[in-house]
Parts: sequence; structure tokens; C-alpha cells
Amino acid sequence: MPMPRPTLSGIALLAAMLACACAWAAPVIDDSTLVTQELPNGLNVIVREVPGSGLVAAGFAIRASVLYESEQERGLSDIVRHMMLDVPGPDGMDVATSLGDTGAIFDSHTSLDSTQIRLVAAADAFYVLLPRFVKAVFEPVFDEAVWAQQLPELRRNLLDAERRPLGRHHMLLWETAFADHPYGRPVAGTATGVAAYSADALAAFHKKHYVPNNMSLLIVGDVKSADVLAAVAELAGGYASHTVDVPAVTPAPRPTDSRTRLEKAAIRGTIVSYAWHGAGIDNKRDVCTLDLIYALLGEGSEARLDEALEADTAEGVVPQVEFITRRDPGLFIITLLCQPEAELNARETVVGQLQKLQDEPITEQELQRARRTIHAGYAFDNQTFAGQVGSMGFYEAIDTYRFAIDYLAEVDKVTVEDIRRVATEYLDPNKSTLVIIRPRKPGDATKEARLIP
Amino acid sequence: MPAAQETLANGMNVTTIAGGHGNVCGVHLGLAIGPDRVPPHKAGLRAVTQQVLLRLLTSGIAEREDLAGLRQEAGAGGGMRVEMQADYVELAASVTTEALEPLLSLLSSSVFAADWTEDDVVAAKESLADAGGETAGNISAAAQLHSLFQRALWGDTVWTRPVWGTPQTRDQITLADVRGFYETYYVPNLASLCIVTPFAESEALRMVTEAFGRHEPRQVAAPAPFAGTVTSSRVETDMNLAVESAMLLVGVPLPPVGSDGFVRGMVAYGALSGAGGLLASDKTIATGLTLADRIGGSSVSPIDVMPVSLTSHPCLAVIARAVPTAVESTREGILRHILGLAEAPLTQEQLQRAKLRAINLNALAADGPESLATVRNRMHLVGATATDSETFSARVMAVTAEDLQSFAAEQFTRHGIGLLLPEG
Repeated sequence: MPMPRPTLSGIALLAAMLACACAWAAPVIDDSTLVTQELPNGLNVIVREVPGSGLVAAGFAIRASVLYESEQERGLSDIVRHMMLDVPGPDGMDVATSLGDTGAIFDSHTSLDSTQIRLVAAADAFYVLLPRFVKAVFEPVFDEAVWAQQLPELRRNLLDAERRPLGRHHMLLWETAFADHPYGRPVAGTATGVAAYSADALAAFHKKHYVPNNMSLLIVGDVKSADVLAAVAELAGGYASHTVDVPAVTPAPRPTDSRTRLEKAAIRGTIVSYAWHGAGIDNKRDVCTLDLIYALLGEGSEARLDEALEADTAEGVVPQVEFITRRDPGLFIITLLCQPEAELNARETVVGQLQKLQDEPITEQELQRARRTIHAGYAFDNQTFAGQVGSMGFYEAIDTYRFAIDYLAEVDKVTVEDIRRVATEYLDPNKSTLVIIRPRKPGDATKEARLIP
Repeated sequence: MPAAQETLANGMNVTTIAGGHGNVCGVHLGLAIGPDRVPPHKAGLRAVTQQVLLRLLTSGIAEREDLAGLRQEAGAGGGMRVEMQADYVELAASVTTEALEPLLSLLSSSVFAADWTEDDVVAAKESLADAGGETAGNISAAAQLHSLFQRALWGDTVWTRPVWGTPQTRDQITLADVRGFYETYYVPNLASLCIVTPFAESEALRMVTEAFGRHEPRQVAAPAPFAGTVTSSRVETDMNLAVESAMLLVGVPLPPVGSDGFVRGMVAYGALSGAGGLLASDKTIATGLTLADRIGGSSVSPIDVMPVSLTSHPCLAVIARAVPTAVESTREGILRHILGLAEAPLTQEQLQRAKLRAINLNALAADGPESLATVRNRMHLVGATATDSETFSARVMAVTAEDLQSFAAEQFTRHGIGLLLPEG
């Protein structure tokens, strides 16, 4: 999936939905008015015209994330983004508040693969705000006094996140699954690690990574391509490019056995996650197949996992299935929130459902339903220009924006046999990462253990 | 976006807009049913009827075989909402092209040809009591404050009645009342539909006509004219056990939506609101305010300019929570800035910021097909035209500091204040 979406409420599915599956559907991202241009300094600009809409969304997709950080730069992608955009400089309002104060929408985030910075504004305000937007990305100020003031709060927030059970669980899962790959490191760094940085280190990281040839600018909305390309060339064409020296990263090999972490925490219920190494963006057929498996197992109240858990466990178990496409193979995750006494049954159910996917081909009807779920979800994710910039920027950072346009056509190519093959190849219960956080009882100590799934 | 407007043979107004939103369609159906249609002792009848409709729509989606696609979309990001505004009631939905026709069919049958039971009415009343944050049989503080403010601004009009009624007035509403109200007012000739789709105009109109054209119009008496009686500034005060600090709603009337005056009013809104706006920049006001609330991880300021509602009688209003001893200084501080717009022109920097804010907020309110359908249809329901929408930004950009000052001098000649105090 292009972007993480919240867990969806269960709505009953019926086979009758297939009756309307053949209706006409407009392209989710229509590329008929799409223009691309690479500026001489390497900045790739992608523009999609939607005349008359009155709105414009623009986003920088920057290859700055854990994937590109050296040993000495851990967490800096997120810290630099935060400091340059969310923290007031020596003379007043921060960039996010300042652009937001004009009534525009401005947001940014750093993920495992990239940093994305977005602006959405009225078409008539866009050209007024574009210079501020571009300057905020290329010319931030990192002030030593401001950094010294921010550091304690940053460390406190990181410590809080590490201590929260769900945050701790997430960190354990990725750390256990990716011992030797950057995906195993926390995006925001660690409370201990950030203390070593200075404002100069932040500025150096920015200078190294925020160069035109290491980013793309995506624009969708009520603009004329020629005009906006000329404006971008004038505003950003003067920034110099240079070779970005980043560590070579080899995709993590798929595990050959299971890895398990068990901890206890002051929580009432148990958190269990199974994770498997999925496909990376270079294997699009398998990425799309895993997306369909995600829909089959976890979307809607006829989702296989929901139905099976309801049938097998007396107590309520809340499942969540997650698969986000990444540059390198990421994780296909099934998380269960349950009462301690329901844990074993729930885990058996998960293993049973995966086994079923390998043993029995799904029906064409189920495949159609899963496709329809993916189609609908993708359509709603991209109904706004900001959503389209988000999807194209997401894929541009790890591959090419084109995949955002071609995605649904690729999903439609997946066959029943693909589902079985991919489930067998990737989702082997005996080659999973299992992380469990159970409620701590009085006298319990934190433990690590190696268990059979 | 290219928009076309038609009136069906049954009197229903239809606006179709060709969207650039991929495969998602937005639908907004409004009915010009104002609070004047409700007898005072049955206040809340509109709300109960709307809530019954929501139940019908929800159960329709859950049970009808032909609506399974809609069920799936509700789980994938689509959905439907039923709401009420001062002058009209409304239903809005977001669906993909594949589910559009089933949705229109469901809306049509639910809004113009439905029936229900006593149980539905009882459940609707219970939902309203739960959702309204009512405590011990009293209406919520927010509804009480709104009612006080409306009385201060317009006098004793139908707008001062709580739109959801009170527990006591809702108790008076029977199944027959809801049926009678529905049969009288849920008619195509009071309805306006706006649909944003990737379809050609003719195809979108065909779908709408097929779904809604079969309903016959019915004669409805003309609405009672809005009878505002206030000509000077007023304060309306009351007390509420549930509030811990004083709540003020201070505002001025604005000209009709779509007019040049309204456009200038929106620039005034831009100047007053936001982190860099006149109110937030005045640290003297902050002294008497309560601390910011934290809701869902976000900080909610104790003072804010209310978004301007698209109604027949819009207003520019500021809401604040203050310690009871600072009510007077807060009132004075807010009015100093609202009325101050007439005293001196904004600086060019302030004006530029206010204009950007006005056009950005206006454009972003229509971000996405459902939002676009909603904004356009609401404008139509309060008498504004498509041109008013399309020229909004240009008209904002043409406003000068002198225009704004003279507008404020002419328009902000009286104000209304609703004040809710904690008891004791």
C-alpha cells in the first residue's frame, strides 16, 4: 500500500458486490496532463495539471532516512526535518506555523525510506507561498542556542516513546527483524544518540542530503505546467547539486528460522506481532500480491483473520494487518491485541490462516473482493491532490512516481496462483519474527526468550 | 471545475461538477428546511428526523444486497454523514464511481419515500442525547452559549432555539410528528443536490434524474421570513453548572454569503484569526483566558475565531474561555480588535496575510469531492451563485486596506455577546 491507513471499521461484505465490479472506473491518478522535467541541477519536477480546481498541492520527496544515514548520522533525517520546519528559529515563528498561518496546509514526516514535505494552498496563493516553501527546504538555519534549548525536550519525547508499550513493541519488532539492516533502527534516533549532535552536525547533514539531485518536487492541481516549471526553475534552479555519499545498503536476506522476543510491561492486555520479510519495490508483482493478501486477511468484517479469530477465540481479539511497500523488503505484520488468556488461541489462528493460504487456493470471488477493497482504498487515499502528491512522492523516493499511476493495473494482474505462491514463499510461520509484550505481574522481571511460534 | 446547473421536472435543483478527484465522487443533498418549520414545543424535530434518516441509511447499507459495494467502501474510506445547519438539513457522501448509482438510489428512497417505526424514533432521540453531551437533562454548554449569542445578535427568532431541542421538547415528539414533518417537508421541490464526479455532465445528470426524478413535488408553504429584531448591541447571559470557566461568544453580523460585503468579511476573518492574527498577537487578552485544552494530542486555544458558517445570516464571531473575573477585559479585548478594523487600516503585511488566509481557507474547505459538493450546494442553498464561488479569490485579492476599513465602519455597527457563567 502506498501509505499507512488507520485500521478500518468492519463492514460486512457480500458476494453481490461483484455485480457492480464491472462498472466504469476513472483512473485514480490520471496521467494525461502529467509533465516531468529534470532541472540542470538534478531536481526532478513532476507536474499534474487539474485546471479549474482552485487548489494546488506540492511536495518534496527527499531521499533522507535511516537508509541513507551513516553510523555517525543515526536519526538525523528526522531530527533535521523537525528542527528546520517545526521549531521556531531565533527570530520567531517556525516554518510550519508560519505557512499554516496563511491558511495553507503544511506538513512533513520522515519514514524508513524518505522525508516528505508538503504544502497545499489555493491556486491564487500558491505562487505567493512557493518561494517560502522552497526556501524553507533549501535554506534552513540551525542555531546552536535553539538546538540546546530543544535537545532536552527531544530527548524526553524519545524516552517517552521508547517506554510506551506500543512504541516499545514497534521498536522491538523492527530491531529483531532487521538486526543488520537500517530498517532495524528507529527513524527518530535514540534519546542517548541525539545528545551527541550539535547544530553544526544538523547543518552538515542538511548540506549533504538536501541537494536538488537527491529529491523530487511533485505538484498537482490548478497550475499550468509551463508556468510552474518556470517558477520552480527560478526558485530552485540555483541550488548546487553534488554527489551524495551514502552507505551501501544490501537488502536483508529473508530469515531461515524464527526470531522471538518476549517482554513484560505494565499493561493490561497482551500485544503480539508476527512479522515476515516481504517484497521490496523492485519486485512489484509480489508487492501487489502481498497487498491483496493484506486485504484478504485484514480488511472488512469478512476478512479471513477477523472471521477466524471471532470463531476461535472466546475473548475479543483485535487484529491488525499491515504491509507498507518499502525500497528494500520491509515487513508484513500481523498484530493482535488480546487478553492474556486468549493469546495462544489467537496465535494458533494466525498460523492456521497462513497455512490455509498456502494449502488451499482462494476463490476467484475472494480475489475479486480483495481487488475491490484495494481499488476503493486507493481511490479514497488519492481523492485529494495532497493524497496524489503523497502517493507519487512516496513511490518516487523509493522507485518512480509512475508506480502510483500504474499500481492498480499491477494489482489486477495478480492471480489466484500468485496468492498461494507468495504466501508460501514469504509468509512461512516457521520463518517469522515474533514479538510479544505481556502484562507484568508483581515480581516479574523483564525476560528474553526463544519460543516456537 | 466546470459546473452545470439543472432543475428537474419535480423542482429539485441539481448541480453537476466534473471533478479531478480520480475515481471518487462526492454527493451533497440539502433540503431547505429551516427551524421555522418546527413548532416551538417540538424543538428538535428536525434533528430527530435527520437522525431517523441516518438510521435508515445505515440499515439500508447494512441489509440491502445491491448495496454491498457501498458497505465495502465504507470500510475503505468512503462514508456518509447527516447533519443540520441553521437554514437547511443535509446529507453528504463519498463513494467511488462503481457505487455511485446504488448510493443515489438509497438516498432517493430514504429521503423521499421511507417509513419507520416508533423504535427508530426512540433510538434517534437517544442518539441525540448521547451525542449532544447533555448532562442531567440539560442541553450542552456549547448549545446554550450558541443560543444566547443568537438571541443577542438577532433577538428572539427561531434561531435561538437549540437546534437539537432540549430533552423536554424532544420528549414531546411522537412517531406521528416525525412522519408528518417528513411527509410535508422532505420533498424534491425543497431539495438541492450537488454531485462531483469524473463523469460527463450528461451522464451524471442521467444518473441523478433516474434516481430522483420519480418523486412528485408537493406544495409547501413559503418559509416564514427571518424576523431579526435587534438594532443595537446586546449581551445575553446565563449560568451553567457544567462549565468551569466563563464562555463568551462575541460577534458581528456579516452581509449575505456571496456578496462583496461577505468577501470583505472573510478578509476580516483572516485578519483576526490564526496564530499570527490580531487576536492571538495581542498578549494582553491572553492574561484572563484559561489554559489551552489538550484534545487528542493537540492544543486547543482558549480563544478562536469561529469558522464562518454558510447560512442566510452569517456572522463573524470569536469564542473565548476566560476566568470569571476576566470576562470584562476579555470582552473588551475581543471587541477592540473587531471594531478596531473600522478605526485604522491594516498594514500591507497584515492585509496580505489576511487575504492569503481567506482564499486558502476558502479553497481548502472544498478539498476533495465531498467537500466540494458540500460547499457548492450550501452556497446554493443560501442564495449564492456558482459565479460567487468561482470569483471569490479574485474578489478577495482586489480588497484594499481602505475597502476593509470602510466595510468594517459600515457593517460592524452593532455586536452581540453570549455569556455563559459557571454557577456559584
